[in-house]
Amino acid sequence: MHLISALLLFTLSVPGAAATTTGGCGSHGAWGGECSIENTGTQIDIGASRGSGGEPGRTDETGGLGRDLVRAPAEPCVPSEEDLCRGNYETAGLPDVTMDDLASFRPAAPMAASEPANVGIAGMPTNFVVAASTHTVSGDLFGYAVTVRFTPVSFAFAHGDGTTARTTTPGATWSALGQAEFTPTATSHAYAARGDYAVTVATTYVAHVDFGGGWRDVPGTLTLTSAAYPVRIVEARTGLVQHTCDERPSAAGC
Amino acid sequence: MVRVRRRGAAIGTLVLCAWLGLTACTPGEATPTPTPTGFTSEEEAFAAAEATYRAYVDALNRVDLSDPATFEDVYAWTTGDALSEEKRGLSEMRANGWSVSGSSSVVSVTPESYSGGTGRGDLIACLDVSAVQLVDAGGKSQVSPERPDVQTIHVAFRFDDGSPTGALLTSLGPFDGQSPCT
Repeated sequence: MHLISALLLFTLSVPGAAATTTGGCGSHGAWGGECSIENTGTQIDIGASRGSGGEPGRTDETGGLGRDLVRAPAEPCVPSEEDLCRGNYETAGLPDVTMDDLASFRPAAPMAASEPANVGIAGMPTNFVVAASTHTVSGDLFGYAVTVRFTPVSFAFAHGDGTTARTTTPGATWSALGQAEFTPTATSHAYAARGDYAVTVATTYVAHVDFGGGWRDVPGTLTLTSAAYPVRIVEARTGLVQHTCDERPSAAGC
Repeated sequence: MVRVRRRGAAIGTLVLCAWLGLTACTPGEATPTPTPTGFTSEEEAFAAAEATYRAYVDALNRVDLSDPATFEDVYAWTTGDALSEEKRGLSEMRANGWSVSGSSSVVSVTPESYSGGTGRGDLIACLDVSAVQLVDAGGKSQVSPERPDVQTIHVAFRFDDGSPTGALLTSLGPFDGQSPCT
């Protein structure tokens, strides 16, 4: 009987663009004093490694990023905030698993939408709504169920005309708000000029992780940007007409 | 020929049985695993890592932000995230016309962990940056008022047989535990 010592670590990273991680301690960070704890990324990597037992409580493997380690407890194991109990498993035949075995958990990409759909009128509010809510992503690591919960906390809209807005609400439709159409909302924006705009929204999430013993905070935040949402802004011009469109369906503007 | 082949097969079976018996019946023994990566011991790994970090700091001390050729030595000791960060940081400071003066010195290096299986490990470095001045093109200091004299830096490294020390730095980040630097 062996004790499997499981080491788990959380790290926030930007896949494919790790260079943009802030708070590094290379030349710039060390000289300028920006070497500090600051995590911003777009996914959570939860890595784990384990060694075969014999020395309960000893950390056998850590991989290259050995921070925030949850150390394997000595027997008997009592689950707590700090310790995870994964003891008393046979290790015969198990492969030597290392940090290379990473499970990546990404929150669902936020979706932007607008009212009216894809169009707006210059000078009048176009109402944006983000489809982003608290959700969980499940996976497994060495056969253990791992659940990560993402909660959106802020939304940064880039309207495509050079303006941005940050809100804590994802927005809601005019009807859900009980407002008349083309009235301002917390997430609306009035474009100054007609044209085609690409709107994106960067949603910031906080994350919690559950290994079966309750939710644990994951330090830092995650920011995911939606795909560009096209909006065509048109100008509204008024003109006097003699009949209604029902009466003269072939008239201009009908 | 046939007999020889059979004998070979028999020996193979014997070896297999012995191996199976060994793994199945000796619960105290860990299954031996090959070590495809470099260092023969933790001590050797940490010694190489410390030498690498000290060489990296020496290279940093020789950096002239107006001369990108001096960046190459810094890049030579880093890889992965650490390399990306240095490329970004040094290029950015150069592009902004900043200049650096004074030297930083390694106060201490504390081994943290090492995995023989992956050839990767990490250590905590205490770096005295109190003598380092960083100014922008206008001569204005770019040093944060919060900068501690001694930075606590989490250094991750991995074995690399192309490196003169046998190791390269893979990431340089803040350390969020109890600092050994005070």
